[in-house]
Amino acid sequence: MNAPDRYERFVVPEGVSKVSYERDTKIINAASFTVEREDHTIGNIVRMQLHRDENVLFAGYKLPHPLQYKILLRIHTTSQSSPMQAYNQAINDLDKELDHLKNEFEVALARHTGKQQTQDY
Amino acid sequence: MKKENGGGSKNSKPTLQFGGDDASRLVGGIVEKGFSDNPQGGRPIAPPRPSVLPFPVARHRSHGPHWAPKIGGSNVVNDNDYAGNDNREEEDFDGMEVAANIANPVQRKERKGVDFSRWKEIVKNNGTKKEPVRETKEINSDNLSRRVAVPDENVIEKRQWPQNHSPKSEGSNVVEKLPTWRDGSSKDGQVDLKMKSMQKSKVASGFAAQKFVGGEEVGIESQIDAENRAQLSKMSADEIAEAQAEIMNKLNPELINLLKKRGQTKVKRQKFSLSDVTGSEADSLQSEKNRSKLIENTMSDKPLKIVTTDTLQDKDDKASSNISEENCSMWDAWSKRVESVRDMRFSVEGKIIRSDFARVSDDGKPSSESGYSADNVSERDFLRTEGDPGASGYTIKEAVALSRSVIPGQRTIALHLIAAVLDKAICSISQNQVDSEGPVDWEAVWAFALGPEPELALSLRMSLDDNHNSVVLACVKVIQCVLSCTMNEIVFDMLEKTPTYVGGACTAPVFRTKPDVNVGFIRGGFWKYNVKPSNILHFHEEESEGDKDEGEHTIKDDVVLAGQDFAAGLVRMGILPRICFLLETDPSAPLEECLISILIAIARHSPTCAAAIIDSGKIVQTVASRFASKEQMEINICKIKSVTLLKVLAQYEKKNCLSFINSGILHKVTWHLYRYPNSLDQWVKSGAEACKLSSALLVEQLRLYKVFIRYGYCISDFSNMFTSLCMWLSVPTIEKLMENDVMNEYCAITKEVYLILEVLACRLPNFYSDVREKTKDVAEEKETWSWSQFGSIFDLALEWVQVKNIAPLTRLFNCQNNVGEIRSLQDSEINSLLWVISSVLNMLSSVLKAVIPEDFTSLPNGRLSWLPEFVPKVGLEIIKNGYFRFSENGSIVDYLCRLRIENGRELAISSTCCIQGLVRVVDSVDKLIQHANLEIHQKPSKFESAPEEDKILANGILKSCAVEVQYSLTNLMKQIMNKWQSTKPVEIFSRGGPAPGVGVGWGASDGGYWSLNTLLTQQEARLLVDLLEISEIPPTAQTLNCALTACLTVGPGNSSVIDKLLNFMFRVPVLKYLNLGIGKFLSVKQGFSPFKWDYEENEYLLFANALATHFRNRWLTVKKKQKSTGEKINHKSKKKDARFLETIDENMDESNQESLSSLKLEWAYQRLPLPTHWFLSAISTVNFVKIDSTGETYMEMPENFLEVSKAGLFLLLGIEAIPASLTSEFFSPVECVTVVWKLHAISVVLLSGMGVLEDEKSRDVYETLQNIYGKIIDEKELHKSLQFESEIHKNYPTFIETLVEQFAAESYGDVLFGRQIAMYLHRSVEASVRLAAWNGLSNARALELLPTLDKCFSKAEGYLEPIEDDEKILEAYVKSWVGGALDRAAKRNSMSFSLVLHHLSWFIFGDVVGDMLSLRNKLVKSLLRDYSRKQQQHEGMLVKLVCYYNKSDRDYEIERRLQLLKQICDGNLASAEKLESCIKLNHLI
Repeated sequence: MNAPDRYERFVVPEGVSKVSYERDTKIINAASFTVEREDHTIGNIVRMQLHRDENVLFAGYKLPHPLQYKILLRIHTTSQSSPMQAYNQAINDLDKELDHLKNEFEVALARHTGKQQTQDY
Repeated sequence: MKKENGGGSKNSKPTLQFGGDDASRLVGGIVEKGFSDNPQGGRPIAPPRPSVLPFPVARHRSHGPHWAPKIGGSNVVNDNDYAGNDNREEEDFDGMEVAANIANPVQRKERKGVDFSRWKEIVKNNGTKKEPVRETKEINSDNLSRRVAVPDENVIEKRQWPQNHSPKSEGSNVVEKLPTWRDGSSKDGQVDLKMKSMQKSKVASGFAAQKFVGGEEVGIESQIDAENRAQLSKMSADEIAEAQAEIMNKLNPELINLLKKRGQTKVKRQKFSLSDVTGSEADSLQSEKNRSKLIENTMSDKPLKIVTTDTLQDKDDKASSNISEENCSMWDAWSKRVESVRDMRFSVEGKIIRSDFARVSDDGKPSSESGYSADNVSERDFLRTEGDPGASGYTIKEAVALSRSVIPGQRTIALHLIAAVLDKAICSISQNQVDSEGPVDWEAVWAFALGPEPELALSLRMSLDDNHNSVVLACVKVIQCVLSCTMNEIVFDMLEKTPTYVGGACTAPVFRTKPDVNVGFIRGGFWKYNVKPSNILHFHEEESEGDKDEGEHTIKDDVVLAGQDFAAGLVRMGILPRICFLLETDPSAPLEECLISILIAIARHSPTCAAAIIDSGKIVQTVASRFASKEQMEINICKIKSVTLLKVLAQYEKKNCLSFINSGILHKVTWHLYRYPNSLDQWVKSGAEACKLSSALLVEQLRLYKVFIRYGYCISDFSNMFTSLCMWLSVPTIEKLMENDVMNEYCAITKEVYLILEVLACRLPNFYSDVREKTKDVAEEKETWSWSQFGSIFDLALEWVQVKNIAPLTRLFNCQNNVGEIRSLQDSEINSLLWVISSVLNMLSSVLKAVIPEDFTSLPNGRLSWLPEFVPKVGLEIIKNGYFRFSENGSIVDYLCRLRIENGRELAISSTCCIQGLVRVVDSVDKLIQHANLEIHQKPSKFESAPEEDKILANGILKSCAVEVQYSLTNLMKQIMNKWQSTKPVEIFSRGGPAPGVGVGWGASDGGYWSLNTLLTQQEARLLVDLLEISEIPPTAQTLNCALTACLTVGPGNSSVIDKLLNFMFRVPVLKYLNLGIGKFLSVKQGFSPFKWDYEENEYLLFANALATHFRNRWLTVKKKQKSTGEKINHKSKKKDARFLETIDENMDESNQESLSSLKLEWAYQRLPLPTHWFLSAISTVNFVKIDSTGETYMEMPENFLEVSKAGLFLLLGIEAIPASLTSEFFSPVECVTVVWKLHAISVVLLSGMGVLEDEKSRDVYETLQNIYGKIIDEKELHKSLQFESEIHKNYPTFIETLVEQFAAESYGDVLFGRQIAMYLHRSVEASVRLAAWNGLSNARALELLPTLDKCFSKAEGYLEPIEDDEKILEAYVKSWVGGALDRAAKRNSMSFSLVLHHLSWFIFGDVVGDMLSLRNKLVKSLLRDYSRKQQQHEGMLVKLVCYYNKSDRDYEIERRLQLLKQICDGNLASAEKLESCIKLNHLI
């Protein structure tokens, strides 16, 4: 009845940036990112990627409320790195990895369909 | 004569035969149900006599084919009886009469005549050569037959008395008892009439006295015994020996042995069988109790023993831990207790028959063990229709079933039995009896009787429609007991006496809403009625609509409802129209009385039920017209109760009052008040009895009037009444009253008049405003009581204050030592005098309050221009009459304090009220004097010569007697601290708790909330508030603790007390004091260091405000009642299609109430009394869920949420630290909250954000708290100490998951948060919670965030020892290992990895036994498989695992472990070998 509209889940409202960054004042090398209109799909994968980073001391995310379509990501790194850096790196790495995955998949798919086609004929 | 197999009474004369042979026939063979075990030498067995019985009549078991009636030469007596009975079958007893007679022979088997244990009496009884054995036996047989063949008693008597009347021993007793007996039976053979004669006495006592089923034989026997003993004591030792030898010679040795054995078993049995005690003397009962208690302690194999130990344990636990251990274990124990009642059997007097014990008590000799002795055999099978035919007495279920018999007499008896049981139960429950641990678990009996199963309500409702008056009366009595009318009246009467009581407390059973996570699982939700109010009236609505929905609501609904709430069930089943009908048919006085009491109880039940009474037909009119129509001048109990009923109804609704006035009912029932009184002399002369009645009536009428005045009605009428009431206001000549023994009655009236005046005084306009506006038209303020009328009252009241002029009082207060001049006052008289004084003082204080202007600052110079004369007068009188100790003499306050401690509860309550009144008066006087424009204030020197009293008055009375006030305060605090725990078990159980009944504590122990104990503690709390307010003492640990305690003791309706206590506690000075305490605690206690910072002034202020508001909002808010109109429509539309009872809606809609439209005091819709851990609410409230008007729920984060949590932490630390500085004399309420709750609370505070930990100060506080609790955990023995799931909430694992998620998402791996989470992995936490915590951490990849072991706040051993044995947790460890969740934990040396290492290595390489072996193999395999896959990452970890902790004989041990791995590896040999080589290579071997 008073549930938000469906599109609210993925359309970033105007004037709001997709990702916002806020440095934590209490702890050095710590910051929280707010990613709008995302949920566990992104949150979990980014967090796990961050965990692979040696320099990341803490990485966590949460979905503050099921009806608030954003995630909060918190990162704390060693002095060798910075949250922003770690975040960027994690995103880049993920990008690459997923690209790689995609390529591999497509190759395999092509091989498979090729096989099938040869079989068909 | 028969041949006995057991070796029988060859010795005896023919008369002895049937006794002796019976006895011996029992030996050695199983004799059951009348089978004779030897064929009797061809004696024919007569077939059972056929008897014509209407179908569902209660059939006697002897009608069955198995019974072998013993009709022989020896049984002449019974044969004759039978003949005599034949033509009586038409009577009430018909069926059972026949049966009973036929059954005689069986009973005789139980004869105890030949009981060797009684050799003493035997010896005594004859002293001659007469057969001792025979004599006793005959007596018994006489009793038996007489008892069984009820209507024939006289016949038997004639025949038998001459024979065995010789021993005087029994004569006196029996004769004494018989008359009552004959009264009943001879006048009219009808049971109905007997019942009527019984009504006069109370049910229970009625039974005890009359017993027309039996049981008195025990009395006779014991009398004989007593007499025998007396005789015996007169005999010399020689004589005894002689007589003994004589008997020995006469009996053959075999028989003697047999007798000895029997004697022993009998002694045993007697101890168990409560029914042995019929003597109603308290002492004999007591001794019996003690005895059985002893037995209970020694015998361990009895079912009831288990039960009682349970109760005992509960009691013990209560002292040590706290009540929060509710839930499962408590509930199980409780239901076990209740279940055990199912098998309990009761005699008609309501006593428990423990035949079961007797049956087991001897092995191998079942013949004598059938559970009967001559004592109770008559109860065995009198009316039995079902159940165990061999058992004696009735279980509750059987009795309920019997109450539906077709024979009215049986119904009556059954109902009487139930009434007796219930009456006993409620009496012993409310009397705070030792019994609760003793032989009978009356609480459980009560609960079982009312519980859902026996459907007692339904039977009662049906019985109420009975045609037979006796049945109706018996039924009404049962209902009266069920609704615990008498007990309730006692409590309410006491409540009415206290000046602070407003009225209308509801007794309906309630339960609390379940705690949810939003409030941190803290208990103490809103109360709700067990039965939704709309369901109660269902029936009537339906009916008025014309029954079209019939069939939609089944009787099942009614029963379900009655199971939840007995009274509600009855009302739903339409008890009210029936009562109305009964009242209209001009019932007999006892019936009417009972009916009206039931109405009162129903009215007190809940507002809905009261409304039902008002709405349903003409009940009120009928009652009122019966009041008026009877003899005008005559006063009886019915009239008094009628007034009470009206009062209760009036209390609930203002509009009821109006309708009472309009319909003239009020005047009809209160005309006595206007009557010009006789003089006091005449009143006294009318006799004590008449005085009692008239006083009771007057008191009730005044109370009724008081209700009206509270609502603001009839105030103008009061002046008319006042002239006639004046007589009661003055101080009488007490000696005369005492002589005539009408002291209490007089005082009751006086007290009531003053109480009514107090209410009037509350309506006084402010004195000064009144004076100023005097010129205004007075007429328009008709409904207020004007000052002019108070003049004379004041003088009269002062008479009472001048105790020095009241001789008996002075004597009482001053010299306790010289007793005996004149008759000293009895306790009850002191009590009533104290009540008078307390009401007078309270009236005065209310008047004085009206004098104090609201705002002193608005006055010129802040001074009053003039002071009314009576103010200093009151003050002076108080000083002069020695209320306080200004000189050396003992003071009245002293005396009252002493009374409070030493004497009974009622005296304690009254004296507390007295002190309270005094304190209030003095406070008001002081205030007025201080602000008066007195010369003495300006020039004190001028008044040096003034009398001492004047000076004291000018300086302030309280100031002058500060010591005394302090004394009484400490005194009071001691009392409160000592007692609070005993009042705690009010709400141990949630819904369906001890008893879904009505009234007295709902069956809780000690009478629960509705007991004098609780009243006293509440009164004390009120006094405490007053004293704290006036004394303005600096906060001490004791006062703080006491205030915390007092908060726990007050219940609904006293929220103002808590409010004031909160005000007292949350002030800046108190908080400063707390901080001081913390500092001291930290510096003294080992391992803590004081904070490096300090709070600032404004922080204290902030805290104080935050806490006070929080607690007030949290605990004192009242849930508004649902909108009646809207709800009703809604509900009706729902009704059409819903066939089932509605469930209770948790979130009811709210609308606001008018103020003072009702004086009712409901448990429902509010939260008091507070749970023990209420102070944790400040930190463990996640956030409030608010419901706004549209019914939407939204989360509301209060603005100062963070403030509240910080303040809450500070408060917790403060009150945690303070008891350390106290002497351990008291059990502080803070200590009584288990550490589990506290740990939980400080976890909850983290759930809603890191704010608390980010603040430097609260972070320190938090850390300190963790350390304190860590120490407590360390001290506790392992296991079972941290039961989060069972103690806090069964969804605790879910809560943990949320908390862990929070930790993983937001904490940045904060150490304190980490420690808190790690605590849940402590070995003493329940496995389920630990598992949930571990899995949560593992899934969220937060294991590495936990601190190292040494950084946790409790010792490492706690986490490591004992070795983990829970399969699931071990599996979870390996899963995390394999899944890589531990990788970083291993690197960071987090405690999670240490845990895994420790537990896994001990588990895998330790001694594994049995079924754990497969688990070990499984774990090892998966570890090795994992190793073979990710060698780099996990090699180090695995090496650590293998090499973990083996100081002794390292190499060998590692070798062993590797071998083990190889053994298990199962195809993974390669990896095992690789591991070995790695280890060898690396360092070790």
